[in-house]
Amino acid sequence: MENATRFSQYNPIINFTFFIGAICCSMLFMHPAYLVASIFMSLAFNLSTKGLKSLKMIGFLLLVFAFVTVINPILNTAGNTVLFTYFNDRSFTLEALTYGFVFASIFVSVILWFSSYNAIMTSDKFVYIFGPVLPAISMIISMVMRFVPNYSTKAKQISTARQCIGLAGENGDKKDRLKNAESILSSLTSWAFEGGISTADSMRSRGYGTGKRTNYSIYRFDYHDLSLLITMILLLGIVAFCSISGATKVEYLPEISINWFDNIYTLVGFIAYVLFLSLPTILNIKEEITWRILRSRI
Amino acid sequence: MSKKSLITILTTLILAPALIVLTWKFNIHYYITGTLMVILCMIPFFISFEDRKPEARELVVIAVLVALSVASRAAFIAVPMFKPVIGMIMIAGFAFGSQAGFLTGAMTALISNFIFGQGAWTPWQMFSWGLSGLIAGFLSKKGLVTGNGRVKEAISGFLIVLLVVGPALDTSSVLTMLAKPTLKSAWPFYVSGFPANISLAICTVLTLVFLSKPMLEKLNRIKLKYGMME
Amino acid sequence: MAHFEIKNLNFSYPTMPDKLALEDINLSIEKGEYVTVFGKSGSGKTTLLKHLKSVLTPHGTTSGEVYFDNKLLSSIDLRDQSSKIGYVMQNPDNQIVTDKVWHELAFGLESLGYDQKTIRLRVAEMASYFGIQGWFNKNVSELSGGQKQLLNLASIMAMQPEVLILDEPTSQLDPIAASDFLNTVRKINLELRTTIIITEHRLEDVLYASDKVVVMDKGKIIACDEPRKIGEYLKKENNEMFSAMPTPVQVYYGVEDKFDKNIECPLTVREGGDFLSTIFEGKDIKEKEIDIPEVRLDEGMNPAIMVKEVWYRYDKNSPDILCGTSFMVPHGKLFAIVGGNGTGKSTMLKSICNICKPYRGEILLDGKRLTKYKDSELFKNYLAMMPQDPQSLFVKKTVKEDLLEMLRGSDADKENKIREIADLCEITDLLDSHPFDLSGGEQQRVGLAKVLLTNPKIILLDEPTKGIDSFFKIKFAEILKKLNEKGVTIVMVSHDVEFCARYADICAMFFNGTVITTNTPNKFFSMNSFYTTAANRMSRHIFSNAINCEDVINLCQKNL
Repeated sequence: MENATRFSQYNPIINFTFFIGAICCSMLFMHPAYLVASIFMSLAFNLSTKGLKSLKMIGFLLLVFAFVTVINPILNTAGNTVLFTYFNDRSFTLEALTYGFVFASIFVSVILWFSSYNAIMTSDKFVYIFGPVLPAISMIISMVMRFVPNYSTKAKQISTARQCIGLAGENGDKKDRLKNAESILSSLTSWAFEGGISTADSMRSRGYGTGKRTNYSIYRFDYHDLSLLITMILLLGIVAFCSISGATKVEYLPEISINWFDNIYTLVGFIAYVLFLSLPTILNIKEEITWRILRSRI
Repeated sequence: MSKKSLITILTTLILAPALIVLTWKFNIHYYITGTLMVILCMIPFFISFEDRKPEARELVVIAVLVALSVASRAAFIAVPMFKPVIGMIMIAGFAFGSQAGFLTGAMTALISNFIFGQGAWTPWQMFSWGLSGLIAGFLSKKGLVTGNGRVKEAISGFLIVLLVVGPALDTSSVLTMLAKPTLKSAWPFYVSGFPANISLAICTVLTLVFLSKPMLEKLNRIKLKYGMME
Repeated sequence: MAHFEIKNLNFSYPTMPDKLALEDINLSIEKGEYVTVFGKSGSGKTTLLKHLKSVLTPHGTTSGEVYFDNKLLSSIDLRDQSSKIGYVMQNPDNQIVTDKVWHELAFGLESLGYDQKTIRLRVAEMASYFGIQGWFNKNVSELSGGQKQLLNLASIMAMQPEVLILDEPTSQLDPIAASDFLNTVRKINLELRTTIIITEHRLEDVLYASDKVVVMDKGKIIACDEPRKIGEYLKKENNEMFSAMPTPVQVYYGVEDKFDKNIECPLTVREGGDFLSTIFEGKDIKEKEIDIPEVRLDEGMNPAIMVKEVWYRYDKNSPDILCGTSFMVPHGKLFAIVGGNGTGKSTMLKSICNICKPYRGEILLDGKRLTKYKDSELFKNYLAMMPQDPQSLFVKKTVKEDLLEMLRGSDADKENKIREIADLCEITDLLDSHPFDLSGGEQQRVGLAKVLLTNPKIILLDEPTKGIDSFFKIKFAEILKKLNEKGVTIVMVSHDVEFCARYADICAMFFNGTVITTNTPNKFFSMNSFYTTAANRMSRHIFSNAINCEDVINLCQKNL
């Protein structure tokens, strides 16, 4: 666990709940203020999780943003305010362009959330969450994560072994090389299944399948986890309530109409939404500051 | 079928239409609806597998198949043009049947994305790769494809990629990028995805032509050794 | 009350119904005993051990009974069995199921349905007892072979078994990790009173700890006695398994006629040294040295392999693996490179094969630079390497098809070549078997046969004696000697000090990326005081250069 951030140290259930909440909300709410919040908070969280590495993505994200923005009005001609026409009467409308912006924002923020997700939700956290519901599937995931590095090493060994007895087909034509790849895979397959018999024996020998099975894990669910979970659910509840009451009501087609902050629900919902999305970033930064202070006192 | 499976299937049958109504009523992003539908479709497969309380050897067989497919995806990561993974999944389906084929496909997608990165496409990839294993298993059970030849395997692989895997992934990108997609606004995505799908189909065909026979020889021996011959 | 009681057990595999794999086995094992089961590979040791746990018992025809705690084993609930009877297998890698160390430790307890709190305590206890805390959170793939096997042991001990069965647990480990592992097993036996039933090639590490040794041959128990009596029995019967006994035992019976005092048979190096001191007490030692014909190391102008100041590292930013290594290998000799784990020995072999390309220095083969050879000429009729795991070479359904893969030309020609090579490597009976169904020693010989079909002048061997028992080692050495006689140069990298001392022409010590010394085995090992053979360690206070038990016996005979 290198560079573990505060948020990644919370119970995986917390991590997972947050990501599901953030990703779903980012897709559900098309209100411009909400969209801006989602983009900024996803970027801030990504920065606090991955550090400067995350800046490398920015160029790519801008490109994606531009592409999705433009593709929508080209493919969708609905909308009342025609900006210009092209190709004999095909109209390019303001409303469709706005819709393009909306979708581009959603798309980019989802990419950013997933980027942080991948840094935090490792396979063992996934197994921890789904272990109780899908024990056999979780077992398989854990086994596969164990096998894959093994197989890569073995494939390299087989390839070297064949090269050293002149069977690599290095100087041969394409067919020889394909044949060699096939041989490596064949050998790897036999070896893998042969070893699998011992693995299955070892499982049965340690009581697998003899009755009720429990799930052990090194993750705990403590007071901090509980309070964060309650906070998250509370905030999401407020957001949902406000949204149902019309906070996020927007129309882009055929005409743009938006509920702004003069609507009390929009305002309250928005504040709750921003708070929810920024929770992990705040926790990460708070931890970072604590460390700096502690270090400066030494 | 056990009680648990029955309940799961009934729940799915109720949830799916409910979801459509909700989407229509609350103007929900189509991607969310689509993805939830895809996940709903996969749940019965997973639950019925869990329900069977598979024994250690079965788990090991599926884990090995998935690990080999994941490794094959990883091995060719440097050659972006060549993707043998669907071929590998189909071979698993040919040898071990529909359920194992589906699980191998779906889990290969899920687990290889732990290595390559999860994204909005994960559920769609799981579903479509799972289907390719499932169909392969079905074809081999019906005796339509033996796995020992070359022509039928190649054709089935080509069609599965072009009609199932490719369109499913294209649909996932349509839903993430387009608001209110209609047939009219979505077709450019399917057209632009076509070359990539053709390339994937060719890779699958090549993998099947070269590997299905030698691999099935090995896998049949394994079935004997594991005592899994029906 | 016996812990395990085996009565008239007979067993045959369904594939060979006429041949009894176990024949008339009667054995009783007391609680807390340390029992070593010993025999050639294929003598039925593993089959016997597998009958002591129901889930592992192979299919076949069985008669007779196995009792555990006075109850018929088959009547005991599988859940009970899995916690009470622990079973450690040979291959450290294949037994591990999950990807995390902590999860593996908890695996058995999860299966038994213990709650979170109990598991947490047990896992913590095990990690502390076995010194696993340092790598508790790691991925299994980051561990060394020795650590993996220790993890297997710990994850079984977490279930608090009453009996621990170990089937050749150290065959895949290097000698240092193997001793560590066996010491841990011994500690478990002494401190926790766990009954131990172990099969092991490395008798020197288990014999002294055993209360009982069971000798098996062709599915039968031919002897069952305390360890000091077993040597006597095997010697009297003139059984070839005597050659697997630890050096002190062999020396004791080699000079048996020369002393008449009532001295107990020594089992360890310390006892062996004391034994030699006792029999030479007050005696004048005339011949302290054994004569060995001088081997000139710089024979010939162009050695088969000449390595000059070679430097290598995997990455620009990684540490050097080879640091200016230089040595040369004369034609037609068996050249052994010994040294610890991770010193760069295997990398050295890969450099000679041009797989790891040095960034400084050069390698000459027969006076010609390695870089000047094309791969196609290098690996055809000239150079070949045998990998550490011979399974890496097996691709086909049968041994014969695998050998055929190496050959071009007419069918009759191929048949001839295969017959010839099968004869040399003694694998004629195995040609129709599946390569993965063979034992470790057989796989080793089939691998060698496949390598030899490239008709090499130089063969490189990476740990060729790993995981094979002492009888197969003798057979393997004979094949190597035959090849040497034909003028083939052999370079082997090995941990196996005893094997190198006995069979190599020249030994080189590899440490920290370079060859430190090169010498004939007698000079080489008699100069070392830790990294040397048991025979040398037990006799160095009396003789100056005895390194094999034959040397010690010879010198004793001459001086007594």
